[in-house]
Amino acid sequence: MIRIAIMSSVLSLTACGHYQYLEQSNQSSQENNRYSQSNVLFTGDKPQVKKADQKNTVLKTKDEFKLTSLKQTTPELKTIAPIKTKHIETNNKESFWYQLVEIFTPEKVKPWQKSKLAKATMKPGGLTPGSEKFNQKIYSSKESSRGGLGVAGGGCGCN
Amino acid sequence: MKTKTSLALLTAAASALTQADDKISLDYLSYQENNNRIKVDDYALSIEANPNVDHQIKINMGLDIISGASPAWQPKVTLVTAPNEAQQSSSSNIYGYDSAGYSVQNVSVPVEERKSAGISWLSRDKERNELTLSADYSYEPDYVSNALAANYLWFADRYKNRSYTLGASYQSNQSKVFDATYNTSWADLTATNVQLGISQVMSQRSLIDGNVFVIYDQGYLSNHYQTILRKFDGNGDGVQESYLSAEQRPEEKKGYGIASNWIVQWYKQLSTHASIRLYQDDWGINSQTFTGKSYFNLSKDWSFHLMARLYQQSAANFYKDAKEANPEFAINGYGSADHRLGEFTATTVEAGIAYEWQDSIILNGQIGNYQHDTGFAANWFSSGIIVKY
Repeated sequence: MIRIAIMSSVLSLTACGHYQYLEQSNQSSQENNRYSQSNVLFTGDKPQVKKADQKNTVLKTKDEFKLTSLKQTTPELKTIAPIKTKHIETNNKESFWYQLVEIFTPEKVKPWQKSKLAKATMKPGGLTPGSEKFNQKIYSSKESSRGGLGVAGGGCGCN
Repeated sequence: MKTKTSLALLTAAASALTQADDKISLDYLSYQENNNRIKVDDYALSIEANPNVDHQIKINMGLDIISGASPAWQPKVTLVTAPNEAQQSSSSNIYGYDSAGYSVQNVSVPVEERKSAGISWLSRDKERNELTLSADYSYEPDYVSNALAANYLWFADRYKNRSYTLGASYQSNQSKVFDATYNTSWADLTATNVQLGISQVMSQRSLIDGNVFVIYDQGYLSNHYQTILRKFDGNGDGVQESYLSAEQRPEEKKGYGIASNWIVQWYKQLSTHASIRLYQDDWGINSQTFTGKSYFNLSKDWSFHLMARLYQQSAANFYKDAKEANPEFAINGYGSADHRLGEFTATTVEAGIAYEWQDSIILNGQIGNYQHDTGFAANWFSSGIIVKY
């Protein structure tokens, strides 16, 4: 069963990029195209088949058998497909939006992985909280808005 | 595998219960405004004690020495007593009338000392949630402040990557007030602040926090040193004269806003803080604050920081600039010429250096410059020492 799944997924990948080699009817090609888009997960170099669609995979083995035969006559197909998949992933990771989403997606950080976060420079008050307090005092005496920096602290007649 | 798991658990337990260092810090600020205006020397002493992993006590003491002058409308020659009609018609004190007119002058303020003290107590429960209670007191010859605050922080997950905070503070203050003949009395004002926040660890070297806050001030919110000009026909000749009057602000202010701070260690040598705050109140003041700060670790002991801040503010709806063509207000109603209630953009730059000696003493020094686009500017130098023991 697993073997059939792997085989069908490899075939789907090859079919995805190389329809011109298929001596199938248009209907058959469209079916393979749909199949390759819906049943294969691009999760790295090794394509996988969704478990929920394994039943459909078995039903399509006849078409895939023809593809297998074709693959044997065009050995470069096996290498081309994974390279293309990897290329797409590399582009995504380098994109600004991918990195932005990655930066703002919280990770599960374990307590013993928080040594960098425990450094004084990573605290809101910074390395020298005393000088930061002086700065806030200057701003509050020369500007007409306040708030957002915690609730503790006393009043001042400076404003 | 079992050994590895046990080791990880031990490390986790140790990291969760590490006791913070006790420390004493002493900081000094020398602040000077341009045109020989206000000068401040500020000393702050802070003591932090952690008797065990569940409790922390902080004591703060401060001394500010303020001198110099502050700009306000003044008579060009001398004031004569305003007619009773003007006094009775006005909603604020009318100090008098000068037929020669008025100008904005730097009014000398007597050397004033502000003494402050505060204490806060933090306690943690079994889940390491934190309750902080604090009390602050400050005294200066014309202003007294008493403040109480409570803040509760609770963690939302077992790795303590997300936490929420709810805090509230209440200030009961008193300010000196002048009457029409410059006799003084005390007036009350209160300030309430409520803040709800969230903090999220994003990665091993990044975290974000954000909060929403509401403020409510009530009572005498005017500045008794600030003056304005009011127009009124006091002698019935059909021509309105200008009278020197005390400024008058509303006796209530409601404000709210949001703030967020993003801290990242990009490399071992570089950490940055980026923050934003948006504020609005019912006096018509909207403000936006953007701050960026970078820490550069030059070596194991030396670090350097740069800070830049941009602040923009709109004017209060009862503000008139002294340079306006018609700076006078009506005889009744709110009015202020205090430039801090006006529209301006302020920029701040600061550079600082810190030296850490054997993880137990930190020496630091900063120089900063603060400017309004209206011409106001100030410079400061601050230094401090933190001793861990």
